[in-house]
Order: sequence, then structure tokens, then C-alpha cells
Amino acid sequence: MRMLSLALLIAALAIALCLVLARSPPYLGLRLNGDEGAEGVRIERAHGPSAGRLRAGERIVALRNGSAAVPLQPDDLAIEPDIAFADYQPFDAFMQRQQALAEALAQSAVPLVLDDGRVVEIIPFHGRPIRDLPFEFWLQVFVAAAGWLLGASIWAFRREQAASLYLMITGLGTMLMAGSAAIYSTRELALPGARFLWLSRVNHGGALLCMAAFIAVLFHYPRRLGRGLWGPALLAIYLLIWLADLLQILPLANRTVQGAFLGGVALAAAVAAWQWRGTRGDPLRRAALQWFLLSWFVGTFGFMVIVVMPGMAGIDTGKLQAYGFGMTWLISLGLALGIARYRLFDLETWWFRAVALVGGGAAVIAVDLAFVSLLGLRQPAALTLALAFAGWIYFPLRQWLATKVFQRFGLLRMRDIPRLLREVIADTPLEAEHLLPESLRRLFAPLQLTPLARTPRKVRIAGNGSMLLVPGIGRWPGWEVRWADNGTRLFTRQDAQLADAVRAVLERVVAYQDAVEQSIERERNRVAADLHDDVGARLLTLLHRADPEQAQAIRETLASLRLVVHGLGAQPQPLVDALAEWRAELHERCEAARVGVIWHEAAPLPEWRLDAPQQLHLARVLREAVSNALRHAAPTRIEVRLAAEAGALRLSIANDGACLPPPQWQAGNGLRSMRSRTQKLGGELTIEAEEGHVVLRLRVPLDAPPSGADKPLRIG
Amino acid sequence: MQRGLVIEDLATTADWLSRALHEAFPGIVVEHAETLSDARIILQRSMLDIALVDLDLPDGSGIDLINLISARHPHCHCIVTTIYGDDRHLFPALRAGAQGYLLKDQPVERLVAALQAIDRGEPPLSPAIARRLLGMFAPNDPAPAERKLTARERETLVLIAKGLRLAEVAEQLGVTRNTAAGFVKAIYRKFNISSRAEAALEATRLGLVKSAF
Repeated sequence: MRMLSLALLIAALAIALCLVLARSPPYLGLRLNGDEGAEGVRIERAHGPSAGRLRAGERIVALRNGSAAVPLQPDDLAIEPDIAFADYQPFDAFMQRQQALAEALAQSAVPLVLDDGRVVEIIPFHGRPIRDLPFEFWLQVFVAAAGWLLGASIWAFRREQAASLYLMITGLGTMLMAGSAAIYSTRELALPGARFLWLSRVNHGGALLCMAAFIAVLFHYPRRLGRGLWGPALLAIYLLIWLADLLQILPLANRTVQGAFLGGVALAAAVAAWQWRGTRGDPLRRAALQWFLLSWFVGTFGFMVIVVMPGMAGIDTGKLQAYGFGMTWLISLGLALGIARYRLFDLETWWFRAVALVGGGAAVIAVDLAFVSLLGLRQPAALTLALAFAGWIYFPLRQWLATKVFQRFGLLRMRDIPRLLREVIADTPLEAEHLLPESLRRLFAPLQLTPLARTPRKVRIAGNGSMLLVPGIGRWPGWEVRWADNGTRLFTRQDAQLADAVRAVLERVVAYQDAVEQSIERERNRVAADLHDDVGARLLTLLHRADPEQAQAIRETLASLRLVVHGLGAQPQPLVDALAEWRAELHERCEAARVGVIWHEAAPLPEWRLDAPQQLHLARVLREAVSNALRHAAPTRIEVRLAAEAGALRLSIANDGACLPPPQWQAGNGLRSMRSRTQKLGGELTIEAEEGHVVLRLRVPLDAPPSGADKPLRIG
Repeated sequence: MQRGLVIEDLATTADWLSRALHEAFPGIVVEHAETLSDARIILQRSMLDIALVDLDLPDGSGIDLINLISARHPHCHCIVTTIYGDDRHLFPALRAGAQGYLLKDQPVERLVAALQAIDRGEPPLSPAIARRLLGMFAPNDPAPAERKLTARERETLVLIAKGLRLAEVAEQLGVTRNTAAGFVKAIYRKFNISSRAEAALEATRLGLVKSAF
């Protein structure tokens, strides 16, 4: 907090200083403009001290200072002497003229020599009124203050990062550069030479400092590329250049400074490319870098294209400098937003659009310049040709590039949906529960796919683009998809739309499946009811008319009927429930026959489930075994033992009584049916018998998946 | 048992059930109804001790009759007869107030034994039904005592759900067979009460019955 207050204080001081310096020269109340080729300067507006004494359109050719006359040239109004005077001599001459003009203006009454020979004396105000300061002044002061504050506040909050320190230095550089320019570029006519010179030097220094620090930032963000000494080294190099400029020993004078600036941009681009390669496989870092570069690109490139490049080609773009500064301020804004992690997940589209836009504009300007300088065409013709050239060649090129880029970013995947759905639904029939996660997996190849405890209301992107939250279908949970494409990219809005579309389709599919199952269930119930009413009733009637032998057979039939009806709609039943029923039945039969029962269950049995066929066959085998025992052996006791072993159920039924050894048994239906059912269960049946004791052992594997009993009943 | 009613539309089965009643309770007078409406008439004019109700009658489900009997003739043992012993078919009947069930395809001796057991106070209870009853009575039900199961009763249900018979249950719980049978009867009664209470509540809520308070 203290740093921020300090930064605010510095900003306030800087603004105050700018204001003071801008207002300090004597004020004539004139708006002047220089026309090429004409003498002196033209008055555009006269108010304040000049109101009524001078009129718009009149030309001033000189100022009188005592007996000497200081001539006025259009050049004297140069907004940015760096650009207007490339070499040191004209630059120095300009400064000397400014000094002379300033001295003339310092008189209590300033005589102005007009082109028609008249001399008008104006008594200047002591300071320029604030209202007269033009928009460009405020813009540049704003850029100065805002740039500094942004840099300083970033450093205040992220002091541990080297990058933020250099960012603060760029803020400082911006403040120096824009603040000084604000003062001299919006002057009315002249500033004292020494002051002007120093302001110009501060301006150069600020620009160079800014450039150097920016490259240093790129060197450190998102990760440090080399030894930390390169940062200070860069600053030192640019400082040296500045010193050389101070001493006026640079070879190409002001052009060198501009060249150093442009060279810095190129160096920054190279470092950026290096950083880019390093962020492969780290989508969040890459997105942060993209945002950073985007804002920087738009800002500096815009500045370069508007101000510096034409300046180097000899076109005076001084007037536009203020606006150029405004664009550089965009850099700082972009940085702040990027650090606030704003919309990192939409970067691909924004990036491309921004590049295309600025690049397109730059192309037009570049081609225009080329036509002007190389072919010597005059302005309107050159511009028309440039536009035509750019239009016919650039726009188709851009479209082609767009499809290539968007394809690479996977943004055209909407076309893939039909194929994907076909694969997921038709070819590999999945349970409804798995349809959504499997589709998400195929669409996005995520590193992580986890179910959500609370399902979101709609598809949305979270975690700065690293996560996609998808609502579930029906009663199943929603899903959290993380790290798209094996962690190489972030989720975009197109991805969210895609997920939403796919989910909607799957929801329909599941609803349809549910409807089909419901109708199957109804059909089942109808069949069961029919069986009961018709077949069951007939069997019952037969039963009550039959003799005991037949009665038993009919009873077995009824029992089978029960099992079949039960199996029509049955879900797999837990083994323990089935065992409980058999036990109860066994007890009942033995109680009626006055036979003792011993039931021994090795605890605990695994939580197996029996599907309908398994229930049916097991029940029949057991019933048959007990029937045999009760019928043939007249036992006093039946003993049942159950145990689990290696994925199979082991069952033994032993009885005492009058037992014949097995070879003497008649292979009746009972034995045959027991063996065939055991086979259907995939198990083994052994019967051991000796005098007075018969043991039937059954082993049934239960860990195997159900034998397709879950397939719905086919109707029609 | 002096008067009994067999409600059954299959003639041979009705005869057979009557025979079983005569064997179980010598001297009983058995009437026969083939439809619900006939049964209602008989119910109105006679004092019945036991009624064997078939669930599938030509003019409706026997469950309505069970409701009627347990409401108007509480002293009458209401037993359901059916082919199916699984809980899906029996449960609604038990809920309506039946005090037991008989499987129509059992041999006569078993039927007689079952009838006599019911008379003795040992209503039948299969493991599947016991499982469902366990689900109906939640352990922390805030219902009044007359609708909640005691710990012993709950244990009884658990053991029966495992397949144990009454004798074994009594042995495990350390009580006499009679006491165990009493538990089962209590379970039925409480189930009936709780079902009726629910039904009454529902009826009141629907505005069908003017509540007393």
C-alpha cells in the first residue's frame, strides 16, 4: 500500500511538473500553423491577448526583439524535432532559433511582424491558461501518468518477480517519454532552447529506457530465459546509446535513436519467439504469453506504423505522435488485463483477428509508402493503387490463412460431431451412463475427466480455460473436463458450444432408450399376467384333480412357471436372498417330513448376484436333490454346507438314511436334469455315496459375467 | 373356527380349499363365493371366523375385499390364497390387512398344517416378505410405539429374512416358540396398522375423510 501511495505521489508530481512547464512560457493567444513553401506562419485563431488585434489567415514572418528581428519559419512549429530534423546540425540550429524566439517572447510587449509589413504589438499573458492546453497535451500526460501507475502498481503487487521490476521501469520510461513530449509538442510557439533540448533528451532517454526494459520483461516472463544479468546489461546498452545521443556522437543522429527503437522491437520479437517455443505443452503459460504479446503487438506495431516508419521515410508524422503514445498505452492496459487473467481462453480467435487487422492495415500503409518512394507516384494515386493491391491480394490470403489457423486450433470441429456420435452410439453400444464421458473423452482428449458431485446448470468454462464443466444427462452426474488435447491447449468458447450440442443429442438418445425399455417392461408385465391367468389357472385345476404321482409333477411345473414369470423382469438377485428362500423352503419341506435340518454357511459369502437363469437352474438342482433324498432315503437329517472358493460357490447336501450305492441308482429324469442344469451353470456335480450316507457336491462359478440374460425380451 | 368362506372362481380349487378347511377345523361350515359381489353379500349376513381370498377374481382384485374384511370384520382371519409366493404379488395384499397367505399348489397336508398354524397364532412369513417388511419399518421412525417394531421383533424379522424357521428363530432369540410366533403376529399387526394409518392419512390429505380433530 505504501508503494502505491508513493507511486501516486510521483504521478501527481509529474503531472504538476508538466503543467507548470507547459504553462510557463508567455502566452500570445495564437493558434499557428506552418504551410510548406510559404513564408512565416499562418494564424489559425487569435484570442486572449491577441483577440481583436490579429485575425485568422494573417501571416507572421518575424518577431522583433529590441532592434533585432527573429524570423519565423514553418519549421519552428515542429511538433517533434526528432522527426523533423534528422541530423544534428539542423537540430541544433532549431534549438538556437527556439532560444531566440523565447527571448523575444519574454518581452513585456511582443512586436509581431506580419507579411504585409504591419507590426502588431501583443502583450502576452504570463502563463498559458489551462483551457488552452490542447487535447494532445492531456492525452500524453494521461499516458505518462497511467503508464507509470500501471507499472508501479504491478511491481507493488508482484515484487517477487523480476519481470514486474522491469515493467515498472517501462512505466518510468513511458512517463519520461510522454511527459516531456506533452510539454514541447503542444507549445504555442517556442520554449527556451536549453529547456527544450533537455526535454528532448529526456524524451529520447525515456523511449530508449522503455524499449530496453520491455525487452528485459520479455526475457523474464513467463519464465527466465538465461542469466539474470542480461536485464541490466540491456539497460546499460541503451543507456550508452542515450549518452552518445546526448553528446551528439551518434552516426545518424536522430535516425539512430529511431533505429535503436526499431531494432529493439526486432529484438523483442526474437525474444518473444524464444519464449513462445518454451511454452509448448503449458497452455496456461502460453495463453498468458499470448495475451502479453497481443497487447504489446497492437500497441507498438501501431505506434511504429503510424509514427516511426513514415518518419524514417521522411514523412513528418509529428502530429500523430500523441496518438501513437495513446496506442502504446494499450500495451500497459493489456498487460494489466493479462495479469488479471482476463479471457485467456478466447485468445486464439482474438489473436488471429488482431494480427489480421493490424497486419492488413500495415500492409496497406507499407504498399502505399512503397509506391510513393519507389515508383514516385503522387499521393492519391499511390493510395488507390495500394488499396487495390491490398484488397485483391490480401483479403483472399487472409481467408485462406484463417481456415488454416482455425483448423489447427481445432475450432472447426463442429463438422466432426456426426461421425463422433455414430461411433459412440452405434458401433460400441455403451451403457447410457457412459455415453457422455466417452464422447467428451473423444472430443477433447483431456488429461482428466472426473464426475461432479453437483451438476452445473449449463456448460461453462472455468479455471481460466483449463476446465470445462458439463452438466450430466438424466440422473447421472455432470463432468469436469480438464486440460484439453492432452494438456496442450485451453478450452475455448467453441468447445463449450460443441460440448453443449453433443450433450443435447445424447440426452435425446438416452430418453429414447428409456422409452424403449419402459415399453419392454410393460410388455413383460402383460406376458406375466397372461401366463398367470391362463396357464397358472389351468395347472391348478389339473393339480387338484390329479393323483399324488401326477400332482408332484404338476407342482414342479407350477414351480417352473413361477420361476419363468419371475425371470421375465428380474434383476440379478443377491445370492444371500436366494439362499434365504431355499433355506426356508428346505425347512418347510423337512418339517413336514419330520426331518432335521442343519444349515452351515461359511461366513461371509461374497456379494454375488445371480441372474435369472442362474437362479432357475440352481433352485431346480437343489430342489431335485432334496426331493431325491426325501423320497428314496427316508433320512433323519439333511445337512447343507455352503462355502466360497476362488470365484465359485461350493455347496454340499448330505443325508443319512437308507442309501443305495450309486451304481444301483436308476438314472431317472431327476439325475439327468440335475446334471444338465449344472452344465448350463458351468459348474461341476459329484455324488458320493456309501452305506448310510450320501453327499452331493456342487461347484458353481459365480464370478463370470451373466450369460446375456440382461438382453431385453424381443417382442415381435 | 366355526364359519369359513372360500372366495375362489376355479371350481376344483375351491373344493380343494374347502376340503382343507374341513380337515383342519372339523365341524366348520364353509361357504363359497365365486365373485366379489357374492362375497360381500355373504359377509354382510354371516359372522365369519376365517376367509380364504383369491387375489384374481373375475370382477376385481381381492384386495378390496381384504380392506373391507379387516375394517368391518376384525375378528375374521383373512388369508390370501395365490399361486405366486413372491413378495411382489403378496405385499399389496398384506398391506391391505391380510393376516397370512397360502400357496394354492401345496399338498393338502401342508395346507392343513399351515391353516392350523395360523389358528395357533403362527402366521406364515417368507424371507422375501420379511426383507420387504424390514425396509418398511425404518429404525428411527418417529412413529408412535404401536407402529414401531421392538428390538426383538426387528431381530425376528432379520432372522426370518435369512431363511430361518420359527423354531430356529426361537432358539436363537432364546425364547419359546410361542413367544416367537407372537413376535410375528405383532409384526403383521403393526404393519397393518401402519399401512392403515398411512392410508387414513392419505385419505385425510385428499379430503376424502373428515378428520376427527
